[in-house]
Parts: sequence; C-alpha cells; structure tokens
Amino acid sequence: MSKTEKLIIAIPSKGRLQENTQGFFEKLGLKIKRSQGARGYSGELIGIDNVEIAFLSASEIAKALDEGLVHLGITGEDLLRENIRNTNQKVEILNPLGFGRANVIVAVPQSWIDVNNMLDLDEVANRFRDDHGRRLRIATKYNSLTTEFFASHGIENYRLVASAGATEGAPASGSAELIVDITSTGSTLAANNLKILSDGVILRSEANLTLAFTANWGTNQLNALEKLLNLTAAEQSARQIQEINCSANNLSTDQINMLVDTFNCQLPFGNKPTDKLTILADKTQIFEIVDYLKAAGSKFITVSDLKYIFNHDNKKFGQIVKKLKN
Amino acid sequence: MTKNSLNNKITKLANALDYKQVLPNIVQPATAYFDMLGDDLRRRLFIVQDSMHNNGNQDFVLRPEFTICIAKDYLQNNTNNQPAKLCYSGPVFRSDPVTHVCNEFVQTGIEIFAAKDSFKADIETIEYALKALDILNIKQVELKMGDYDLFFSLIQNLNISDIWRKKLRRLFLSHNNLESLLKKLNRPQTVPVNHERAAFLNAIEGLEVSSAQMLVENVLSFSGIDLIGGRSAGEIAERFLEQAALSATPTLPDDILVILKEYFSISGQAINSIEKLNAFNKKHSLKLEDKIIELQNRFNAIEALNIGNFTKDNIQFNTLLGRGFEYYTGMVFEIVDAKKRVSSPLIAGGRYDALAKQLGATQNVNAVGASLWDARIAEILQLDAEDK
Repeated sequence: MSKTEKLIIAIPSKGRLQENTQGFFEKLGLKIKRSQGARGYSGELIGIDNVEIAFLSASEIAKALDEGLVHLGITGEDLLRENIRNTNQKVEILNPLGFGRANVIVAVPQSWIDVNNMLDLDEVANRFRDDHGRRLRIATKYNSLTTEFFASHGIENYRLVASAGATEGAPASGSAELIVDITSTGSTLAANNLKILSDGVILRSEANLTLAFTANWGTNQLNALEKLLNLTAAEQSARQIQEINCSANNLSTDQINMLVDTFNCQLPFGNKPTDKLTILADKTQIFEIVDYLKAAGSKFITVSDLKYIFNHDNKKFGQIVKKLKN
Repeated sequence: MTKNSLNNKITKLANALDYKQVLPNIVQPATAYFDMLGDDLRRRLFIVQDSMHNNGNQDFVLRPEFTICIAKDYLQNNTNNQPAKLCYSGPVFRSDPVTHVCNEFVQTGIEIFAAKDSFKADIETIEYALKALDILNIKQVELKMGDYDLFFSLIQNLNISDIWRKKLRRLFLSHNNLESLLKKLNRPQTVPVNHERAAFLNAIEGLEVSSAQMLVENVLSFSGIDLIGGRSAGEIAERFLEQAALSATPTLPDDILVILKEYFSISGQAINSIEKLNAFNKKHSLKLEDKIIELQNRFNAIEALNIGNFTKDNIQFNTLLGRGFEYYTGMVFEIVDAKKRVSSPLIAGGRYDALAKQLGATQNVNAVGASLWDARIAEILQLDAEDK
C-alpha cells in the first residue's frame, strides 16, 4: 500500500458509512475517484495532490491504522478503541464526523427486574457464581472495551464468550446471560427482550477521521495532510456558525460594539456603521442578534450558512507535526 | 546445575515419596479455567483456535497451571474417589501482563486426592516441598502459611446472618491485599435503592421465597416479559429478599468490623501467631479453639519432619495469605527465599476440597497440592553458585 510518497486514506468500502464518507469529502469540495477494474479497491482524491484512497472494511481500517499501513482512516471510535492497544499513543482522532453514531452498551434480559445498573450487576454476578458454580457469560465482539469497563466497576465474576453472529440473540438462545454490543436505536435489543443498564453505556461512538502516528510520514504526505486539515478545520468552524449581513448606516458605533459584548459573535470585517456590516455568530444566537439589529434600526438583514471559515493558523497540524517528530 | 538435573532430582524425590506421574494435555477445554480462576489469571489465559476459527466459542486454552486439569482427569478416571498421589512436570502458559506475549514456564508439583487423613496429606505436601528444596541444597527458606478454613470458621461463629456470611466469604476469596479488603469491608455492601425499588422491597420483605417468586413471576407475566438469560424467577426473588433484609443495615455492624480488622492484623512467626490467635479467640469468645489447636499441630508436625535445619521459627503465619485462586478451602502456603533475592514464591500450594464440586462432581473430594516454579528455583541456584 505504501509504495509511493502518497498520503493514504483508508475509507469504508461499502454501505452507509461509505456514502457518508463521500458526503464528508464533498462538503470539503473534494471528490473520491475510484479506480476501474481489478484496482477497484483503491482510488484518488480529486482536489488534493498525492493522496491515495484505500477502500477497506471498517474493522480493517482500525487494524491498518494500528499497523501504520495507512496514514489516515475513517472508521468508528468503537473499532479504534477495541482493536488498538494504547489507542491514544498509536492514533489521534482528528475530527468526529457526525455520522455512524452508535453506542457500545451493556444489556441484560428485561426479565432481570432486579438489575438496573452496574452495581446491581456486580451483586448478581457474585450470586450467580455461588448459585450456579460458574460465571455469568457476556457475549460480545468487544473484548477489550468490556474487560476495561467491567474492571473500572470492580466486577470480576464474569467471562466473555465470542459472539459469531447476532450478539443480541445470545441470552435468548442460552449461549450467554448478557451482552455488550453496539446499538444505534435500541430497537433490536428490545426485540430480543434486552434492556440497557442505566450506567451501562461504555462508549458513545461515531465515525472519525483518524491519524496513524506509526505510518511513514514524508514531506509529500505532510503537505497533503496540512491541506486536508486546513479544509476540515475551515469546514468545521463553519458548521456551527452563520453569517449575518445587515445595513448599518442607522447604527451607532456603540450599538455595533455592544453586539460583541452581548452575544457570542465576531465582526470579521470591522465595526464601521457602513452600508453593509458582516457578523459571524453561533447558530443558536442568530435570532436574538437579528432582533437586536432590528431594534437598533437596521432596515435590511440577511442570514446565510457558510461553507468554510479560513481564519487562523491550523493549530492541529502544528501539534501533529510536533508529535510525529517525537 | 542444569535444568534437566534439577528436574530429575525432583522427579526422583516424587517417585521415592510414592507419587505417580501424570501427563495432562497442554491444550485444555476453556470453560473450567474461565469459571475457576481469579480475574488476574483469567486475563492472562491463552486461547487456542484452529486456523479457520471453527471453534469460535473460545473452547480451548493452553493450560495456565496444573491443578485444574489434573483434578478433572482424576475425577473422570476415579469415579469412586480412590486415594491418589500424583506428580507432574511440564510447561504452563500465561500471557505477560505488560507485553501480552505468551510466556511459557515449567511447573513441577504434586496433588493428593481423597486421602484418608487430610491432616496427614497437608503435612505430606509440605514435606515434598521442603524436601525438594533441601535436595537442591536450598537451605535458607521461609514458609508462609495461611488458613482459609480458620477464616470460614470465624465468620461461621460470628453473630451475623447467613447473607452476611456469604458476602464476607466472597470478599475474602476475591481480595488482593489487606487494603483492598478493608476498603471493601468498610463500604455499604448493598446496592443503594431508589424510591420505587424501596417500595417494592417493603412489599416483599419477610415473604417466603415461594411467595416472592410468585410475585416476580406475576410482575413478569403482567408486563409480558419472557424469562431469559439463565436466572430463574426464584433467583430474582431471592435477591430481592436479600436486598430487603439488608436494606436496614447496608454496612457491616461496627463490632463485627472491629473483630475482622483485628483478625486480619494477626501475622508473624508461627508461635507468636498462635498466642495472638488464642488471645483474639478468648477476647471475643469465638469458639475457634479446635481450629487453633489444629493449626498448632500443623506447625509442630512440619518441624517434626526434620528436614535440613527447618524449624517452626522459619514459618510465618499470615491471616491474609491468599493465592489468587478461588478454589482453596484450608491450608495455603508459599515458600520464599529467606534472603528475598527472588520475591515471588519458589513453591506454592494449598488445600482445595471444593474444587471437585465446582468441576461438576456430586460431592467435595479432599485435595491438596504444591507446585514448584522451576525457573525461580534455578535463579536461586544460580545466585548461590555466584556467591560461592
């Protein structure tokens, strides 16, 4: 995979995750072009030079990041935390992408009406061992996450059993007593007579753009990374912010300065009471600001979404370069 | 001394003491290990799969120790529990807690099953252990001893409910050290209940198990919930009853806590410990006389073995000595280098009468054993050679 001086980005090879990933790149003004024929498992990113796209399954992406076979990858945090030992030393989550949301949870049979939380489960695990001479079995694909979570709650009397197919069916089929699994809506759990413990959310996961520290980072790759990070930072800052343009001839400088003091907003192009004043503000504050401007005498106001905000040095890129040098 | 000659000498000793060599399989079914081992060792198990992952249910492990597989083989081949003195030597496998690579160690040892006289079997076990070190010319050793049975008798004689006894037994079996045990003892031993649960517990308190069970069954059937997940309505009812009974006193009564703390503070040379135990027993009227005499007899019998220059003074008793295995029921011991040049035990073992039942036998089988860490012994021999 790393034959060239190219920045390799691993992305999901199929399904909703792939569509959403393409959407993410499109928002950045970038397009994934898949190679034809036998080389259909790779592609390029139109918009940034020296980037190669590798299409892998979501769990292969976590492993490829762990081994440094790819520079960047898009996959769920659950798979990163589960498959990469010492996750924070091996990889860095650059940005959450807002899709692929799902929680890794502890779920027990609904019929366990005496079990609502992890403390209950601890007590029941101990009793179960005494009553049955064996430990509670937890069906899961998340061995590491489960072990860590249960240890943090001081629960010892359990054992893990591998779940080959549908984990949520294990308690009903008798191959386990409870499960640790990923769920987005919880409806599959309910259909299998299971319930989530009140403090049983192990991880709130979503898809992330993630960087592998152990990959081979040369000049070309760093340049491509910087361009990509500038775009993601610009797109990310633009996500929460909207732009207000208004006629400001009737406003006093004091009234305009009051805006910055009162609301979470900026005046990127100055505070002169001119024909057109531009205000950038957090989405949640827009209508309060509009009301304020109207009251102050502004005759015409528009609000619009922004695509990018390129406003500062890319701090994240600097931090990454520093970490890579260490 | 080469590793082989070390091993030969110990094997000869075992033969001379009438132990029969057994060779359990290295690859073992996983279930017993997952169910019997403590958390620490369980995490270090090595799971074996075929290359096609056909046995995807984690069915096999590389044996991490000998006792469980030897006990299983014994139970399978001796359905009428014939007395047996068995010895073994071979590799065991555990993953390294830091690097997670598979470490292979050689363990050598003995197990005695269904002895007519269990006191005698305990002494024979210590005899084997001390003689093994003696013939290898390791003379400066300390024998650390503990006694699970003494603790179980103590809680049996305390004025507490059976529910508390069970809880204390569990805490004791899973403790790592005094600090963690005391911390666990100090905190409330029941799950805090919310208002709805409290109301339910009030309603259920004092009911017969069968009525409480019916109540649980009714709640389930009214709510249209299927009973799945290996716990019966009876078990759920029993836990509710326990919660109800304990909800008034979720922490251990202070006077009981004082007694336990005093007990766990008892440690030191064998003779001193006996004195301390006698005083403790008298002060709190615990009726442990017989158990303390038994312990004293054990110390005396070990001295009477007359092995090298070993006397009672080389025995350190410790009420907290635990082994990280939950199957011990009586005497537990570790033998360490007296100069502490190697901190881990050279030999360790104990009595585990309850294991047979945990492995599915219909009754307890009296059992005791010892196992030697060949590499640690070799290290001591090496250090001794360098000193000369």
